[in-house]
Amino acid sequence: MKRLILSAICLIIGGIALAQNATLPQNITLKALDGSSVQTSAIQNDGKPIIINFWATWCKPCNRELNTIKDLYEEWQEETGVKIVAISIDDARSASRVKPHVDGNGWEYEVYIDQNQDFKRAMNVVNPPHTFVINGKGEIVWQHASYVEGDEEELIEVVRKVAAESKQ
Amino acid sequence: MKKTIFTALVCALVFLTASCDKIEQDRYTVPAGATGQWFPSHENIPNIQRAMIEKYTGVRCVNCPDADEVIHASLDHYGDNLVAVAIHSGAFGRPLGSDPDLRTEGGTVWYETLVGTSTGLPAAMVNRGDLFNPLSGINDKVDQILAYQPPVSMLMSSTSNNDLLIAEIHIGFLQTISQPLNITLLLTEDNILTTQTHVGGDIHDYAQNHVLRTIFTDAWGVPIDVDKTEGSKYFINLPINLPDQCVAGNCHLVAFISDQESRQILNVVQCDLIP
Amino acid sequence: MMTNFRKLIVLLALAAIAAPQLKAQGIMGGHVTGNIQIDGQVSHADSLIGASDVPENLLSNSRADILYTNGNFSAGLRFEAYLNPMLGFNALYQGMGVPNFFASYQNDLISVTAGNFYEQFGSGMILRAYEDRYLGLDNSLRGLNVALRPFPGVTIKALTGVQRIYWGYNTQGLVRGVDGEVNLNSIITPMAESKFRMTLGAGFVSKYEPDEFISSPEPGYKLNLPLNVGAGAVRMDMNYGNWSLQAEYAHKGQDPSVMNNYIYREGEALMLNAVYSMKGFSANLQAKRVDNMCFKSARSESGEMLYINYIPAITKQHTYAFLNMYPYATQTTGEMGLQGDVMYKIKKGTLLGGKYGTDIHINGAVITGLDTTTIGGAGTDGYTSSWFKTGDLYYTDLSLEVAKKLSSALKLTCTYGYQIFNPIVEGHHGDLHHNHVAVADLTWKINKKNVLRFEAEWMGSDSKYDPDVDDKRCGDWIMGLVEYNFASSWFISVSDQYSYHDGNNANYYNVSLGYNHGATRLQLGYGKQREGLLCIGGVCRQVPASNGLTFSLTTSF
Repeated sequence: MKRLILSAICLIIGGIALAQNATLPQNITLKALDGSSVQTSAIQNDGKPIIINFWATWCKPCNRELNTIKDLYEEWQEETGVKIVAISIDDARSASRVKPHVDGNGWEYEVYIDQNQDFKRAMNVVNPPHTFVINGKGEIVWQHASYVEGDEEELIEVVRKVAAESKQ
Repeated sequence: MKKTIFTALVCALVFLTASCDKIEQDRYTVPAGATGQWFPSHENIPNIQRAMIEKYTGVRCVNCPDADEVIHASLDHYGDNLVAVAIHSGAFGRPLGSDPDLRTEGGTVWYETLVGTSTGLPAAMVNRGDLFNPLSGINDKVDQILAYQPPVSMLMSSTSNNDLLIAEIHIGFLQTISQPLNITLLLTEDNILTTQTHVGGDIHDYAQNHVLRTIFTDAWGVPIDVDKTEGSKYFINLPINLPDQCVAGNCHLVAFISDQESRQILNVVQCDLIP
Repeated sequence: MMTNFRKLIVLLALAAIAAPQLKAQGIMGGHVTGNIQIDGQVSHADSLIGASDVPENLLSNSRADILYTNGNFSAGLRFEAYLNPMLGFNALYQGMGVPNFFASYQNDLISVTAGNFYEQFGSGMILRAYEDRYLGLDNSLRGLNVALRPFPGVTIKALTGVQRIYWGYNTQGLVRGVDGEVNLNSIITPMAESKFRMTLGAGFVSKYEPDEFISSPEPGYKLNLPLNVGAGAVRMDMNYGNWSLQAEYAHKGQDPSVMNNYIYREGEALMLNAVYSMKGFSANLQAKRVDNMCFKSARSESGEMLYINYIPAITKQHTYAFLNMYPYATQTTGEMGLQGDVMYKIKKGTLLGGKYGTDIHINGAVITGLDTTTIGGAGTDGYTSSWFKTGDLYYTDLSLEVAKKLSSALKLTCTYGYQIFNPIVEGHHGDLHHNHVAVADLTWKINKKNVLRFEAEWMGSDSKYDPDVDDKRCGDWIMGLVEYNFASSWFISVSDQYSYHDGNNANYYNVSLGYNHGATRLQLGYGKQREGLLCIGGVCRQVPASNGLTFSLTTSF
């Protein structure tokens, strides 16, 4: 019962404290597609918005989402300057498929592999796909779990707003 | 700071690479050991009651050689049915000159508990009954014990497996026993030549026989955790690590079963170390 | 029981209060974030599918991760409650508490974690502490984990800890490890801009367990157990232009355990992966050989817990139900496998590509046992094996997937799969099963807010129903599914799987309704669940049949 109270207190504190945007964790190690290690602090876009998308090669909705956005990405970049960082949570079984999967699908996103899922845990991602929008200050301003066709419309709306704010 | 952590990690690496045990192929299996398990025995265990005479002695004990005479006479008389163990102990047991110290850790435990440091030597017991000090009348006690119907029977042999010596001990319950029992395994050695003080003057190159060299189990033995109903038979394998200074050809193994509380010996068995 | 139920209600209420605050919350300059997942199940007996009655009526698994971050410092704890564990989860999970917690400091140079942590060396062949909540698996280590990055491109890790098992920790089995990785392009200046990219790594893990009595088959003898068991691995990752190659080799010292029938043979594993990829085309070939590589922190643990390492299955992780009907479980005691994968995008405007292009995905995998010669049982070297000869066929999986956008609103994916399945991988002898699977998956985007999806699957199998084994998967199957996504937040799906052959006919129908909003997802389902293996990444758990209502709530904040 004590433990329950403890967790309850955490939840309540979490609920009533002043709302403030969390920032992107800085020192989590990810793998680039060439096998080298990259810190999350390297996820930068010169003060323009960033979309972080957690996905996996075996996740159907993730692939639908990233393939849909693929056709729109160029337009989005021109309009808002947004950069998409696709974080694969594929584990040892499928991590070696990430590079062929990305190339085979012709994705032009910045792709990193979070094999140990440290970044996934730090971002409280439960299931892929899970999408975050990061503003120019590195703050997490929006997130969405799951994907159905049409969700990309809401995503770009958010990005437009964030891009407009950061220009001011 | 960087360097310290780096060094610490390298040390950790060295430590870790060392922490991997390699077991040689002929050592994959070892005797189950005293703390291990008893296994059902199908051996024919002779139904014989034997007695163990524990003689507390010392190289500085002037009356001990005479006591040895008494014991030798008894051994001649009873043959294999009497097992002797000579425990060199206490101040009388301190070695003379450059002679080896014949006292042992286990023997000291027995001596201090069963005899007491204030008692003069020689002293002896048969199956942990009354203390004989001096030894007169001890044969009556042996006769009395050998007349018993044994409650447990014992059989022991030594074998070597992959140049590892093993004592294989079989026990059989001839009646149902409820009280907890222990088994003790020890090593004795004959013909250790030392100087021995004697009332008639020091004897050089005196042959010390049945000398307790080590107890392989705890001094008071280890519990026999089996179902002790009449008719049941078990065996156990105990590994033997021969102490460096012992001459294997002169050594004997002695195993006995004792009552955990009273420490009285129920039965005993002896065999040569080298089969 | 009632008090437990009340506790659950309290938790649900708290979750409901906290969940809508979707933004991270500030405390003392830091942030509190977290996620909550609550799953529940009401199941009734159904003798046809083998579902048994649940006396407590409601089963639920819940967990909440609470994470506090302040600059470089972070700390977290996890609350878990299994009241009572849902069907398929081990009964030892029954109860509630805070089994995992940690505190961590991370900067450019160093990361230190005290408490529970997850870690992986290379591809995990010698160490992988991970969790899979759907498998009820948490191999997290509790102890100390340090990672150091003394120079750019160099990472050194060291850790020590004990593994979680259900609510406790296997404090008898200590796990220690070090790992180093160097990216040559970062440390060798002339290579910095080279097209040739190379990363090298090596790791070593040692476990200690006190001696215990394990009797030898020879009466009166026991096994002379190694108390420290070491495992080491070296790995390489090379890239040149469109080519890349990964290789990893692991070797494990003598480790007699219940998993390998207490043999003293040393273990080894080799994994190779070669990739050629360019925009619109990729090919990948993978090979692996695993021999006696089961590595656990307790010799006598026979279940799926306390694994120190992880040997991934190299078969494709399918998403369609019937392609997953007979999943492959890694045989850590020994297997050889080869897998090839080709993805090709036929360009727009060509004859086969049409207006939108066509995606083709071909995958094939063959897994066999090792060719072994038996030496003996427990207390011997066990067996010898030939490096290149294969043993019995365990698994074959071929699949062809063609995805084509028919118009701006319609997308069709057709898949054909062929599998050969040896029941020995699930531990029982029997004839090989040959299965053909066909899937058609059509998505119709009616408009921005309404999407319909249809899925039809068929499986033809020569597996015969055997009442002794009572494998409910045997025979032929058909399945239909309709999913409707509307108002961009809601979805409803209706499906039925039916086995129409072999005297074991049953309908497994399911209706589910879901709602997504931001990072919150609520799902309700009603229907029948087939018993079977739930496999994720080659690690499998048996899930019993169930019949009734399920609900699931997940949210992140």
